[in-house]
Amino acid sequence: MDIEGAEMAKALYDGKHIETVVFDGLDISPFPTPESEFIEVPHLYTGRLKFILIARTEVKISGRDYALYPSGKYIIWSSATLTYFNKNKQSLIVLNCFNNYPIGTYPAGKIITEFNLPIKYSELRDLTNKAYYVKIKLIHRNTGYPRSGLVDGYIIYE
Amino acid sequence: MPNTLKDGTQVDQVIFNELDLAETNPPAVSEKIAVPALYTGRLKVVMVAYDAVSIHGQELQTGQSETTELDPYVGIEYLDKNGSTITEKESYATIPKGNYTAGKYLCEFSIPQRFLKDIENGNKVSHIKIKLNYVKATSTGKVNAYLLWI
Repeated sequence: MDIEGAEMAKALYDGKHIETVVFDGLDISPFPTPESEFIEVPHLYTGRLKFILIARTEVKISGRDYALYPSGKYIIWSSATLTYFNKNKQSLIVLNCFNNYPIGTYPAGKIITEFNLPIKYSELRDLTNKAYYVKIKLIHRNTGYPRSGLVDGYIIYE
Repeated sequence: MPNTLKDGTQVDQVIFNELDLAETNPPAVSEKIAVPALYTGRLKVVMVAYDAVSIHGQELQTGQSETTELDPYVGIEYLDKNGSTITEKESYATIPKGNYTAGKYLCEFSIPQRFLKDIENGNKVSHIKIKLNYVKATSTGKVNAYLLWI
């Protein structure tokens, strides 16, 4: 029997319930990579919310590089930035590039990175119960290396 | 009495106890930490300034008279029960360079474990090591680091 409006709960490969879909087949090749929508995080202060980024297709992740003087390059891993917002969607704090993930090629289904949404940072403690939304941005500053593929991103409650 | 953080969270294990940044050659590597609860996904590391801390990263020469300072970072090594390395995340979490007053958090991150399904012997991790990368010459102060189960 079909029930109008019913939707099957989404889950990871291991049965873990997905709280929120953050990226649904996001194409990571454009520069800069877009930021997520506002993600409501009512369970944030449990400290048990986690973000997980998975390759939907084969994904190539590039690094962030610095041109060295007089020559050469220094390449560091790609990273994710988190911004916390209040109920009025005003930015409270930005955690720049706080999680890093390796350069490389990821086959479909492989986990690219996973990280907890922090709550204990001193600045965050001052904002206790004020953060209501977060946004996640994948940072690929470098344009000199190819990056491609589609990714899925989820918030789970661990 | 068990150690606890200021907010009452129980400390599962002490990773760094008053690690002196000016006296320790980086990377500062913890002892092997047994992580029987790793696969619950609920293990977390917090790093806290024990006293006034100034922590800095590598400086790159990016111009004739320009330099760019990178942020310090933390890596995680995963080991089996025999102490052999299974895999390593060399630069997992970033610590913003700068000054921290006593009690301030330098970083907070969970120990990732879901990715281990794609790693050979990824189901056999019994210990981890935490590696703090920074520049000794420009860093001062002491830090504590704790493993929490949330």
